[in-house]
Amino acid sequence: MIVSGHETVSHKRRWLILLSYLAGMAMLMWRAVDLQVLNRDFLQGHGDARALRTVEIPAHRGMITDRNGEPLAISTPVSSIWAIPRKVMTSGLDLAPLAKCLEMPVAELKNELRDRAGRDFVYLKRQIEPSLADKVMNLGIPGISLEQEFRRYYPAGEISAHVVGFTNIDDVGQEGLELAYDEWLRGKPGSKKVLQDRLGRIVADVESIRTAEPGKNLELSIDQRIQYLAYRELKAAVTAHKARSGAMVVLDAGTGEVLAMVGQPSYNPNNRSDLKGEYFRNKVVTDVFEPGSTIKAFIIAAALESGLYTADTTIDTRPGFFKVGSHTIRDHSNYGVIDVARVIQKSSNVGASRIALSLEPRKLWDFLSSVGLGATTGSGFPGEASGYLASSNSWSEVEIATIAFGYGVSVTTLQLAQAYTVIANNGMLLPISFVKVKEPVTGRRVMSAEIAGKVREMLAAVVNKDGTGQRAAVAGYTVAGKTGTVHKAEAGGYSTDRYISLFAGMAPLRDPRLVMVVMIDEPQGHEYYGGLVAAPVFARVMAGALRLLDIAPDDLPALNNNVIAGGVQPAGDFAE
Amino acid sequence: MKTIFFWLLVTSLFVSALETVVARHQARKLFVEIQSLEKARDDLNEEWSRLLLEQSTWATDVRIEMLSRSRLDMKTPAPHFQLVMDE
Repeated sequence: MIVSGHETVSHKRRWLILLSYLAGMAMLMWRAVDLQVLNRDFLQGHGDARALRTVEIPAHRGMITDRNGEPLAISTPVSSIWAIPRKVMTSGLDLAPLAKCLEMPVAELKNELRDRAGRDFVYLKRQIEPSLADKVMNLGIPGISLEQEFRRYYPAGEISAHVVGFTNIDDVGQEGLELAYDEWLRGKPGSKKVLQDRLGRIVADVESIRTAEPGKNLELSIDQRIQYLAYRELKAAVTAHKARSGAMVVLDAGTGEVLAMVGQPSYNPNNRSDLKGEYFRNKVVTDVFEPGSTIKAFIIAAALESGLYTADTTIDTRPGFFKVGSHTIRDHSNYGVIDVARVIQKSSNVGASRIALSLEPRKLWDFLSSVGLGATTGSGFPGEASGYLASSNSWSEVEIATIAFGYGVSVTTLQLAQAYTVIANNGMLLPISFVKVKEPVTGRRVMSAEIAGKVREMLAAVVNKDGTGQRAAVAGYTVAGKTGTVHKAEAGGYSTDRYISLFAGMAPLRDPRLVMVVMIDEPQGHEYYGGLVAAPVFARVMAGALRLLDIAPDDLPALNNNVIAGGVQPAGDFAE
Repeated sequence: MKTIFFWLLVTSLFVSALETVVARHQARKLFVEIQSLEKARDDLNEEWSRLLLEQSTWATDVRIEMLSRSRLDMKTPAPHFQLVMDE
């Protein structure tokens, strides 16, 4: 009995144990099903989120070069340090070495981390040298990671700053051609999946999702050598005359390409932390001014084009002033009865006004707007101004008379240069391009070639001994151009002591290759005439540019003794 | 007949499983390789752009002009020292 009773007890016990095992197993299986089947997506997602990460592969931004391949903007890889604040703070490690690497006080670093504790991504420092980045990573602080980025460098610095512009810290164009051609330059970033460890470090690359596409390079029309020359001379002139600002542009007369474009004051695009926005403005395309006497070339061209005038037609400018309505128009002195060519050479306001008044206003307006006045040049440069040319319907006699010597209209330096290109290019208006032009350019005819040639001849006289622009002369070359000295407009009329000095010109005379406009704003002191302030800058840059471009001197008589005629063996060991 | 078919299926399943593992492994290996090659390419690009930058910094017109004027004592010849070869 005892034995059997013992047996019953052990039977019961066995069943009890078996049942509890079974219950345990059922629970385990249920848990397994729960994890593996019911909550699978949620758990898998969270697991991946902790271990797998999709990282962006930054794309290289295209390089900007000048027309000869000299780099003007290059992207080089740099590293940015970012942190997961929560992880860094809970690590309990000393943050002093990290703070030292980042060049910030420990307290500030800690504050920053605490303020953003809720976030998963905080930049600690952007765009640092790769060597410094390695040092930071070697500290082994959890939650600190690197990101590869690109930083844009501008080797030409302030010399080309206004043309090239710059990008912001996220590599997006902000100014200049960096902005205008942002789409072209920008690459498409790629992405890849990576495996990371508990501390957020990337352990292995898993798969590529999209490869990064680098941006395209941009070849500008700028010739960096001429750009430098122009910058140096303009800066020297602005400094010497204590001027407020200055702008200058050099165009290729045959293609409308911008070979150089400089402004003063400029800025260093590599370090622009403490600069004001006004420095970034490209004065050549954004600042408008009244063109003054430089417009006379087009008044004369319109006169010749009308058929009412020839180069020899005489105009009576006596007694050196005349009244239009209540307005008196004056010359510097009484030039007497002079021909059209002399009006240009002496820059006679009376002569130009009398000619303009004799023309049909509508036709004059048509002509002035056809050379590009009052409309943008179509260069596509960001923020380009269009200047101003009032409709001829509203022109009064006084207005026509003042437009004849460049008041009541406004232009940008680039517009003025484009207009002079018409004279240089035998009457064809060319579109302006900042990018190197590879095919021949077709322009629009706005003036007959014959008249363009005649106007050039007259402009050449300006640079003669007798003209207002004699200091624009370049030894060995024939030069044509026009001076301008403009009283600046101010509240209630025109200033008597604030001027803009201008010179617009081209060389060589017969077949102009270069067109150049120099604008100097508010030169101080006794010299303020365009012929004294702007013309010398023109001469120096033109001389250098002609030599750099290997354009043969065409004014050989001026170099009388220094010409070796063809076929004659020069002295020395030049034998072939 | 049925058993043969069954075992054939089992074997092919097994083989394809193995193949998958091998292919996966190879894909990983190739991916790692391409990553290291891309890294090498990026490093070379990086070095190239840095050298380009260095070169253009050394060769800025300002510096060339300053050196040629001060150290080499060069100057633009005056017009009466210039000869023009007229062809």
